[in-house]
Amino acid sequence: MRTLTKSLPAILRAASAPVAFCAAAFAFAHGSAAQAGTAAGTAITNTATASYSDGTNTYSSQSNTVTVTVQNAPALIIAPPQATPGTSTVSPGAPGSDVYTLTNVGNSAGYFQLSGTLGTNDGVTQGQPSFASFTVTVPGQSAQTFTTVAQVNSYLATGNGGSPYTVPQVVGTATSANQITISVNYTTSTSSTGTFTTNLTAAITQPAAGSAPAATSGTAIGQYGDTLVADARMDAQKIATVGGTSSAPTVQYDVRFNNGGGRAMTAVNAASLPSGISGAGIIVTDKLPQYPTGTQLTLNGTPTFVKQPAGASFIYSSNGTYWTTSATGATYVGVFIPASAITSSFGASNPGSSQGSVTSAQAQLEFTFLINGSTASGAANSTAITNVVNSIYGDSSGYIDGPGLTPYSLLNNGNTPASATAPAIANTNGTLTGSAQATSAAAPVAGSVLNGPSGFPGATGPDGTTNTDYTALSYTDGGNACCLSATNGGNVETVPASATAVTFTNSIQDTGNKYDVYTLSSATGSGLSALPAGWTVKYESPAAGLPATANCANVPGNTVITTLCVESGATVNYQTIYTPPATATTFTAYTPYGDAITATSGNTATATNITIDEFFVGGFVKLTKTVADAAGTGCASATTFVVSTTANPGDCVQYTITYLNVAPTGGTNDVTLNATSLVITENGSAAGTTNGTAYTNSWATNSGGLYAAPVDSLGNTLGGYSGGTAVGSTTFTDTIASLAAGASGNVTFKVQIK
Amino acid sequence: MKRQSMPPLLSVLAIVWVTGPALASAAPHVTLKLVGSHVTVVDGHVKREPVDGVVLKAGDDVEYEIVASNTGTRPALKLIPMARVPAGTEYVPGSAKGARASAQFSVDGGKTWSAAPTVVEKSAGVTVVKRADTSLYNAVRFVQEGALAPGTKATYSYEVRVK
Repeated sequence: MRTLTKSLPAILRAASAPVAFCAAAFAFAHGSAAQAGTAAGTAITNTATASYSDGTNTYSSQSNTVTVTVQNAPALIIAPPQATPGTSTVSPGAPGSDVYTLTNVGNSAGYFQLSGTLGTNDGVTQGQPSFASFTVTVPGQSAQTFTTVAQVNSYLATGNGGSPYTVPQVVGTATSANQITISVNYTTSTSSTGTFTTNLTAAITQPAAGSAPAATSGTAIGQYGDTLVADARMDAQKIATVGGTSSAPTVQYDVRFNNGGGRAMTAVNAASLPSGISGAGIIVTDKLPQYPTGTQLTLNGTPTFVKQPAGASFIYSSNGTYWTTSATGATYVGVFIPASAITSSFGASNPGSSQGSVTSAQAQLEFTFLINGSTASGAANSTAITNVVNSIYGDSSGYIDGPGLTPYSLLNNGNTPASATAPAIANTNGTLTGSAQATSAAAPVAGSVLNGPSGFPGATGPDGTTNTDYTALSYTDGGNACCLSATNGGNVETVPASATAVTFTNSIQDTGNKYDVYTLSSATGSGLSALPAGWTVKYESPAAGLPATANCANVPGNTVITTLCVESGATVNYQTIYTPPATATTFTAYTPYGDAITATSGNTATATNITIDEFFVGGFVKLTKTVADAAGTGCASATTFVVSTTANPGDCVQYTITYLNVAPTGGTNDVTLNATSLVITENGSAAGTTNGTAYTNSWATNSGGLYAAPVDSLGNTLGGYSGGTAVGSTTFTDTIASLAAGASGNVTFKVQIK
Repeated sequence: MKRQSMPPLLSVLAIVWVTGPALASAAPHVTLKLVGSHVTVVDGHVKREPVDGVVLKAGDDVEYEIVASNTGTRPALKLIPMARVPAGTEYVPGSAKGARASAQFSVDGGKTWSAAPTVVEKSAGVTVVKRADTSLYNAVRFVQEGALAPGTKATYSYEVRVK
């Protein structure tokens, strides 16, 4: 085509229209320097023009138009790329994510697809962590989580109502509109170590555009090279020192904390800390112990910092949920370390410490405080009180940690309420991470003991002290009646060879403030007769045995013992056993034999107590018969009787039978011998032999029988008269229902000599 | 820059300057033919294929060849063929060629031409004139030396790369 025109420069100079033409003609050619690519389907047209002259006129000409259509040129970038992998630090046990950004750098909108195989090309491809899921976020959509490559691809290709989620290509500077993100989520175990790798392999597909067919890019590979590093870990140690006196005991605690992990500690969001604490930070809390259970021990004075992070302050609480700076009525003491102090104190790990072991040099926080101890039983036991200190702190994985909190379960993002972290404050297990405990006595040791009759270790004896209490027994050779009557006028009793042992049951009470192991020893007690040669004494556990307790081992029944373990405040029984020899031995009747048994404290050697075990052989009610004569006076008028062993016919003779219970008396809660159903039989013509000694009564023969009814001084029951009536009777009985230890009485009767 | 669609403007030009075919019998008559070729290198050899109607992708090179033929009876003087660097493409440096012709380029839509166009940049109050990057070229023209005799033709070419 040829057109006569002015010269082209003239055209350009002469009118705005040609300028506009040229401008219009060329303007679209320029475009943006930053434009990434010509959109697929774009038709690029070009037409040449020319101007020329014949020397006078100017002509123009125009060519045909050439059209080129731009094809799809899909391309993507994955960041971080495999060539320069990203890095993440993850802590063992914590979940983690590597976020990949996929950008459409092609020349049209397209949708992404993952390529390859899970575990080889996508996900965790090397190392110990386990792949968990992919989280896919496309522009304008909420994040979606999938567990397989196929699921991801299905979502990206058809999730948009059956169509793909296409992302426009970058024009100029890439924005989030040109990108999707895919996170590779993984889990680690607490034993995971070393390094690991995640990958994401993807391509992008641009759908057909005009005459440009759909096209898919080559794959791009993203990569992270991650490292497992132990997270922040609050190590704590607590030391208790018992002081004061048993009557005014104290316990001092020294508490130390250190970040012994491999990563920095972070401040816990204020919303996750108990009320009364303002601002983010770390807290350590210590509930004062109780002793005994239900009795709260109290602060003595106020705590003192040994090593104080800048800005750290003491906090107190009476219930663990509301904290204040006032120590009044506090049952909790703690420290608040504000966020501003964490960088210098706990912001970096300080290796070397461990759970329950933090030296003063390692400590990033150390403080001491004093409590009042306890005067209650058992307070001096070394395990009387366990005092646990706890902590609530943030880790580098974005979670809140503390004893009793499930690791990596509470996000430190301000949405975790204080109620969720409260279990850490309430924790009573000082072996958990973030806590420590000190088990100690609540008082200095003060041994003390009571040793006494069965069931009454605090019994008192005749002098009113607990060293003269007693247990009295009557020995009968185990029911063999060896010694029920005396020989030689009732003064000597013989215990046959290998007779039955004498067994006492005693009780011992630990009246000290710590469990004690008492040593038992025997010596002849004051006022007692030593046992005959050959008799031995030993101690045994009760037949039922002694069950194990917190501090004392089980002792089977009838085990020979020399020591006895007793819990503070408790009472246990033991047997004191006297064993006769294999030969016969003789005892004096109505005489107490036995020992004073001493229990000596193992805690305090000067703490001793005595109980007396005594026994009688041949009975403990002694009868004594005397006779008196009213010389020259018959019974009708006799008033005065003189002890005499002779009488004349017609004299009135008066017999007196005195009965005496020789068992010990006095004191409280002692075990003694009270006689019951005692029957004294008088027969004026009785004869016989007792233990080889013959005797014969003759007053029935030599008198007219009872002149009158006998008289019992205690008013006991008389009877048993021959012929039915007292007068003239040659027999009678005196029935004494009971005769207490130490008690005595008599019965008298008169006969007139023929 | 004021932009308007081409057809109306061309119409205006025709009304103002076109004198009609009556002059054709005693005048040069230059016809133009534009040929587009897809340029590839196969086994070290440059291969050109017609591109008209063909689908190309980013990175592909397109050679535009302008063939000017004087079918008139008088020499064509001051012959200046020109063509655009189309949007979506950029000029391939050093590719403009024409026998007895020198190439000039424009970065402002044809208002100004130069063998090495410049751009003005202002930075911190300082004005700097610097050579324009070839990616900014949006038009190419060839200034023919001498006349194109009747019955002869001249060929000019340049390459662009699809962005």
